[in-house]
Amino acid sequence: MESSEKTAPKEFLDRLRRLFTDIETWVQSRNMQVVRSKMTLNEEAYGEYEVDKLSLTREGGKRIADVVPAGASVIGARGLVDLVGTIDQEILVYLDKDGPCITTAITDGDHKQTHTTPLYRGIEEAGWYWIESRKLSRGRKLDEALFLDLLAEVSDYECR
Amino acid sequence: MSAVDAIEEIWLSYQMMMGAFKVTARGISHGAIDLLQGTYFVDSVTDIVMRDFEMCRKAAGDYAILGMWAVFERRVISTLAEESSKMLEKPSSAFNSVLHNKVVDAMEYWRADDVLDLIKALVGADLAGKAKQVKKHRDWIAHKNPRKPSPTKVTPTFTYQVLSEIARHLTSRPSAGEKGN
Repeated sequence: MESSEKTAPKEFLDRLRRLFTDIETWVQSRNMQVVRSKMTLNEEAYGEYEVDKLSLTREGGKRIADVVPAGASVIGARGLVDLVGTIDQEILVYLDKDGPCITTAITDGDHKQTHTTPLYRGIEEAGWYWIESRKLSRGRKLDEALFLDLLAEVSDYECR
Repeated sequence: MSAVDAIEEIWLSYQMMMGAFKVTARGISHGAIDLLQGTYFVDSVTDIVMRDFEMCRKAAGDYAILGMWAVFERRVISTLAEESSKMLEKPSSAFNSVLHNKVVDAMEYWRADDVLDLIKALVGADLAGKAKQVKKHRDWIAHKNPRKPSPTKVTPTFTYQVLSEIARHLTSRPSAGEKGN
């Protein structure tokens, strides 16, 4: 029987904390303000729990984008965060090394053929990734340059 | 149109919609009146329109998942119907035909999890299991109860990859007779 006592997903919270620290470091010298605030997630797997979200604004308080946790329980990933800008949004996922795979097993009589293909290319280590869904499902590990590119993509705010 | 093509079409529509949202939002934020003339956006409060945009972007992802699932579900039922026709005697007796038709009709009402268990032999337990999780997420989207906790989430990209992969297997399986689903 399922326990009614659910605990917040500690690993997800740790990953979020590291992501937010990185983002704060990346934007601190670029005329942007970062404000942390609390929000609540409610997932079947973990129940209700509190997380931080980030709001990025330019001088004068005009909004650039929000970094909003979407959940720890995600098929094919270990966590999901939305980067929501003024004109678009992108998804960041936490992936283990090599990322998720699709295993196909076709049984024909006694003959069984199994085929495993990675869902995303380029997942060489665990971390936060952006998936280039519009092209070839290639994962790109999030770093400062990529984050600033994504920020420009979702908000037209050039800070590089 | 085949199920694979239909899923591709929904995926393309979703990508196009995202692009169109972005162009429009850019037009609004830059105050490009010439671009926006004759639309609902003129004379609307910018902050409200932008908030609506965020809601609609999320909704577009949800609709893409709902649409891809609908096409996929139809393809799976068609596959079961095609396979079950092999159970017909040749020539089939009246009783055999009636019984077969009854089974095919009943398939429409089989539980999705049971149906996905059946196709494990065609696509493997891993893919069938991933499709079950897509279904769970699809149900949560369809019934939208904000007080209900979200199940394991899926992204539109993940849904596209899993469902199109299964549809490809169903279509290309030995003895498959694609009948436009």
